[in-house]
Amino acid sequence: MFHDLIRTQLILPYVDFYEGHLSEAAGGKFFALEKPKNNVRPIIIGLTWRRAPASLSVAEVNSDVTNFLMSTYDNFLQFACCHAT
Amino acid sequence: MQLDIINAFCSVSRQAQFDVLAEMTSTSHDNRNVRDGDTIPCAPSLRKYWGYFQSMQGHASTLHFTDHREQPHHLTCSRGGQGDGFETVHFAVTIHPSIGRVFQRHPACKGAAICDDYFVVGPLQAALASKPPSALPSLVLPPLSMLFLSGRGEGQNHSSSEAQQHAGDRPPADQSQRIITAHLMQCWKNHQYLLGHVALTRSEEYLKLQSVQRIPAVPKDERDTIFHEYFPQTDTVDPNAPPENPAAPPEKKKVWNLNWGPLLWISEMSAQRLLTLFGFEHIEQQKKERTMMLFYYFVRN
Repeated sequence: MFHDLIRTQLILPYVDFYEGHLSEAAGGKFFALEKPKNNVRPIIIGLTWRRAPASLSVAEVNSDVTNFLMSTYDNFLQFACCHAT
Repeated sequence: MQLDIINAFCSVSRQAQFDVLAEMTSTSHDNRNVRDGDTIPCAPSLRKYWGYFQSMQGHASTLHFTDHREQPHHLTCSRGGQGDGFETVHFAVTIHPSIGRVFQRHPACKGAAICDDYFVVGPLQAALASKPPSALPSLVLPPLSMLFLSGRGEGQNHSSSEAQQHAGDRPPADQSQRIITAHLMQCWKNHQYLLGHVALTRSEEYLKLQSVQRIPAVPKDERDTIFHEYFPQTDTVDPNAPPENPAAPPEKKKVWNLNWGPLLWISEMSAQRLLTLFGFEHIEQQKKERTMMLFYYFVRN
């Protein structure tokens, strides 16, 4: 019950951040992973304050987005949101 | 056939991402088969999170990078989206209509995808059309041209001929990763000799201009937000609007969103419910409720 109150009353309604902190909240730690053939892949790890509400939001929209990605086209499916259940 | 989009998350156009959220295109693409103002399908539940995506992608973000000399860099990013799981969902929903249009034209093919990895199953002739050397670009690239930068002219990728041309200038493998990474972090001024290694055609001025986000897409309904879903009675009040009666004291409205009170359990105990409890079971139930009431009282005070 309390977890649900925290989720629905304190976090999810306020997932948009304070405007003065947007550049930091939308950023994160940046580094590169090495790939074959001397290529690199840029990786960004967001702040915890960003990832926590994002994770809750994904759980909130998961079923709807999964339905959208799986049923819009007859011969094309996407499984991007299926792992978040 | 397996396809992979190189550096997909960091190179996707934010304008296209907001167009999908708004369910309306702002530019024509796909050889003008999709024109300005046409509708785009999108998952309805994502509309409520316009504010979140506006926060994450409507502004240039600051990335913190520490190079191989332990020197920190603060870099401005204004393209793509990465950093949390919601960006993955947003990316998948953004490219879904474009890839879906490709498969609509080729009903003999079936496709499955996980974000930027695609698997196309079908007769080879149907998958590659009639002219193999040029069929794949005509099959895939036009719908994707609105989503990603092309390899030429923007410095994201370099052709194989360029790679072969500058292969002799490459530094040792263990150092190249670090220095190419420095390129990615816009530290290329300190590594001029590596300009032949990575085709970097973007100027610093271009990057600064790009950091100013100009996204004309607007949400379909401004009140269709996650905030109004949980607080439906909250009205949006313009703080700059003049009061209706300036002489009257401002009315204080206190909104209590938690439906909890210390004596709330009394109203929940109906007479019918008491009749169904007998003996020790009834006493134990009362003990539990009183204990919970005392617990809430001490926690609250």
